[in-house]
Formats: sequence, C-alpha cells, structure tokens
Amino acid sequence: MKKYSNGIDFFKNYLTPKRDEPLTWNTFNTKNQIKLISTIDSLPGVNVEGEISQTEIEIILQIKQEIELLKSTYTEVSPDRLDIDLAIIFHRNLKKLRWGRFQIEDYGMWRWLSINFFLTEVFWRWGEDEFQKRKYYESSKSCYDRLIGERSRRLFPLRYFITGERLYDTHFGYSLLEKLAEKSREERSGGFGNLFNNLTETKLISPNEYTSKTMSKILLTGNKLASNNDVQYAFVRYNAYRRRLLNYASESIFEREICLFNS
Amino acid sequence: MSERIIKIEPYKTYDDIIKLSGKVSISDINLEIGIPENRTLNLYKYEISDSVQFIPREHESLEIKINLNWRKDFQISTFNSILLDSENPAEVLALRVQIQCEKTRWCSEQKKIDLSTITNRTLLNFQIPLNEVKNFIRVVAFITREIEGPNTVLNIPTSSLSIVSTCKDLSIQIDEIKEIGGEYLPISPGNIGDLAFDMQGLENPFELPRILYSEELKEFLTRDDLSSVNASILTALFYFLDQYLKWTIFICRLDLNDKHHKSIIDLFSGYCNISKEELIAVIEKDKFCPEQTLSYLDVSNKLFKGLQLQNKYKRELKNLFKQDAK
Repeated sequence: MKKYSNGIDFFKNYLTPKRDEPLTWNTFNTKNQIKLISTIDSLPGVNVEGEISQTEIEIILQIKQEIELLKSTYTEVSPDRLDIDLAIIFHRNLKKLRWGRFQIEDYGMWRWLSINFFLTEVFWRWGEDEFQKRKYYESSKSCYDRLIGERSRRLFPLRYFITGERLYDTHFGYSLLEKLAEKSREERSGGFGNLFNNLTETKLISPNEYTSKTMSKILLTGNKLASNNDVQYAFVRYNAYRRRLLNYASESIFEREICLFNS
Repeated sequence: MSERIIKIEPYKTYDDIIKLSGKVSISDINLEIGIPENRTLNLYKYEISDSVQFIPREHESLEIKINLNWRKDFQISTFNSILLDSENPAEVLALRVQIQCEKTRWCSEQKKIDLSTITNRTLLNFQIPLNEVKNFIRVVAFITREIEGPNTVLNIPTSSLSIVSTCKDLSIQIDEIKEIGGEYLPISPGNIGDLAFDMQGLENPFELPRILYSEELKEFLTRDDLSSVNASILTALFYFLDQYLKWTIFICRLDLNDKHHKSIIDLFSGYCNISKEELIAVIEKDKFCPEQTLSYLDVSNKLFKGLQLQNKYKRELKNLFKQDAK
C-alpha cells in the first residue's frame, strides 16, 4: 500500500480550512476526487512511498461498491445511522488483505487511502448535510478532519476498521456488529456516536475485546438504548475503575456498576 | 466559607509479592532469549552474535514463557492482612496474567492461576501474533479478589475483581522507537532568532515544555538520512531530557490522568531504570527540599547512563565516526 511520509503538521500547514474564506477554500467540497488528489500531489514537499497492489485496488473498489449499495438500500436513513454498517464493510474487506492491528498506527497509509479513494463517501457521511445548509466552513472542516485526520484515529477508513477490530469475534463473526447496525438504522436515538468515539480513542485493553463487546451489547442492543450521555458516562466510569480488573467481569457487574442507564 | 478536604484513603494493597521472569522463544529459528533482571528486553535488532541480528518483524509470532516466583520472605499468608479475618487467601484470591500492547490495544488471553499452585516451576506460555502488536508488549499480572465479601471493613477491598496486588511488569520492545519528536516530547520548528534550539514553557507546571528548533534548520532536521543531523540530535538529547527531568521533578504539578505527564513518567522510568512509583515519590517530595535535590542528582546520573545504554549510543556514535572517516 502507498503512504504519505509527511507528518500531520505538513498537511495542517497547507490544508487547514479557514473560517474567513470558506468559499474560496473548497478543496474538500468539490466532490471531485481527481482535483483533490492533484491539489495534494502538487503541494511542495509532499512525498508518497510504496506501491499499491492489484489486490489492494480490487478490495478498495469492492468497499466503494458496497458503500454505494448501502446508500441505495437505505435512502431514508441518515448517513450517521449507517456507521456500524460502514464498520462491517471496511473491516470485512480489509481483513482479506490480512491487515491487523499493526497497520492501525500507520497513519500515513490511512491518510493516503482516505484522500485518494474516499472523498465522495466522506462528503456524503460528514460534509453534505452542512453544505446543504450553506455552512461551508463546517462542511469543509468535517471533510478535512476525516480525510486528513488531525486526530489520526478519526481518519475515515481507519475509524471504521478499528471499530470492526473491536467488535468482530472469531467465534461469533459480525453478529454483534449486525445487531448494532440494525438498532442504529431502526432507532432515532441511541449513543452510537459516542460509542464509536470511545471504541476508537480509549484504551480499553481486554482479552478478545471482552470489555468493548460487553459494554456495546449492554448499552445499545437492548430494548431501550443508552443515550450519548449514558454511553459517555459508562466509559468514564469504566476508566475510573482502575483498581479493579473487569476483563472478565460478568455482564451483571457491568450492568450494575458501569453501564448505568434506565433500561 | 472555608474549604475542607476530606481525604478518603484507598483500600490496602500489597504490591510486588510475586516476581515475573521469563524468556522469549522463536521456534522457527530455535532461539530463546531471556528477559534480563531489569525486566526490560529490547528485541529490536537484538544481537544474537557479533554479526547476526534478530529482527522480530521477520517472524509471524513470538512465544513468551513466563515463570512465577514468590519474592523472598513472602508467601501466600502475606495476603491475610488484606482479607477479612475469616478468609483464606487461596480460596479468595487468584493471580491473573496477560500480555498486552498499549499501542494497538491488543490483549492476549488471560491466565488465571490459583495462588496455592505457584512454585518456581510454574510456567505460562503465551503466543504473540506480531501482526497485532507494535513497539512494546508488556506482561502484566495482578492478584485479584475473586469472591464478593461483606462490606464491613473500610480499608479491605470486598468487591470481586478488586486488584489487591500488582506485579512489576515485564516489557519487551519489538520495534524501533523514535522518541524525540514522537509520542513523548513536543518538538517543532519556530522563529527563535540566532538560536539553533530552544526550550520554552519550562515555568509552566501543567504543560510539557516544548523544544523548538530554528525554522532555517527545518529542511535538514526533518530528514533522517543525514549523519550530521543524527549526531546533533544524539548530542542534544542529553540536555533536553535532563531539562525535562528537572521540569518533571521541580516544576511539574503531576497529574497522572494527564496522558503527557503519564508518558514522561514512563519515559524516565524506562531510561533511568527505576520504578514509576519511586520516581513519583521523588516528584511528590517538597519542591527543592534537600532530599528532592539529592534524588534528582541520582536520577539524572542514571538517566545519563540509561540513555546511552538503551539507545546503544556507543554503537551509533561509532557508526557515525566510521561514516565520517571514510
């Protein structure tokens, strides 16, 4: 796979959207993938390393095709309610390349992948709504954040791959993710956004991702879904329990002490 | 209205009672490497012999074999003091051991050991898939309370899974770690006049000071293929890290919930080969008191040596000299 060898500061210096010129600065609002790539490739000092294989290209195209199918299947569902479906799509396909957690930290690669293939998808998921409301700066900033990734773990494909890694199970496959995806699509409430943020950015180290899976299951697969605040507080509580090793705590302990909400 | 601070003591724990030791085994090349007494093994370019280096990334997995031993003068009955009178440590407590990677958040299976079965022949095996880990892996072990008890005594933990004892970790480095300018120390170009390097923010007790280098040097210092750059950084590193050490001990208002503070404690604990607890104890002494100043001098000297040994400074310097002499 190819990657940018330039660090995040390089991209920040050249590409951070400016609030006072939202209309002149439109690199990330063009919906034009080729224009975006040529803009970035022409930045002085930009450096790309490595090669992309035919198999990698095929997998990426497959991901794009599956996202198109998702969009056309759920036209009535807001894009932010399809995040779990995106996690399944990215994870299932990228695992075919035998990618593991070692690749997660290679932000130059994820940045290259994001910029070079996923402008349309990023704009659909993160920028279009604001753009329609003529909030051009906000739209640009959202796309910039997901394509360039000032917070690296928020890079568009990486965010979904990490969530897939957290919740995929070698024994049960994608069943938890599928259940969450279904809930997310059907309900109008539920703290799926905060669940994503916490799964991508907090430490949560436990064998076979027991903690991530248990908390996700309790918070967002029951009859009543935890709100964004409920999810946030559950992770805060988990992080505060440093003097207990909850790696194999029963679900009832998580329900009684960590995932407190009115279920 | 006056403010009163009511201090709530945490429950009693009894750390470092069981000692972890072990070795790394790579079956496809029939190699076993012991983890040294200081509990830190650097496998990255580990020298098997004079001309042969072991490169972990050329292999798919590592096997780690862990031995458990009671520390001298300690035994299972040591834990009686942190249990209720009627409780038996062998029935209430267990040791849990796992291997984890903070960077990728991968975690091995967790092995649960009955305390009464721990002898110097106890051996635990873990398989580490290298595709799942990066930089460091740590062997961590805790003694946990396994059974919920009556909540009658304040300083005795009674909730199940409370950690009553933490063992000292074993740390295994797998990849090259670029610390300066990387995850620990903030370094960036800046307009600093005639200076080549500067450190700013040394008076701020909350935020890490920043290392600045001249904008004019940016095009060179951002390259890692120049031996003169490597030589300059290697030399300056001693000063930078010692300044950070002074800041950490004398100025910093330590907040272990702050990831930057936590990182710098990890960094110095590693380089100075002292435990985090010892270092924190130095930081928490009265600022600039004679004991703290003496401790600083001691830690600073350890840093000077540790930095050279862990970065294979002599070898790096020799390579630079050789390149220059050609």
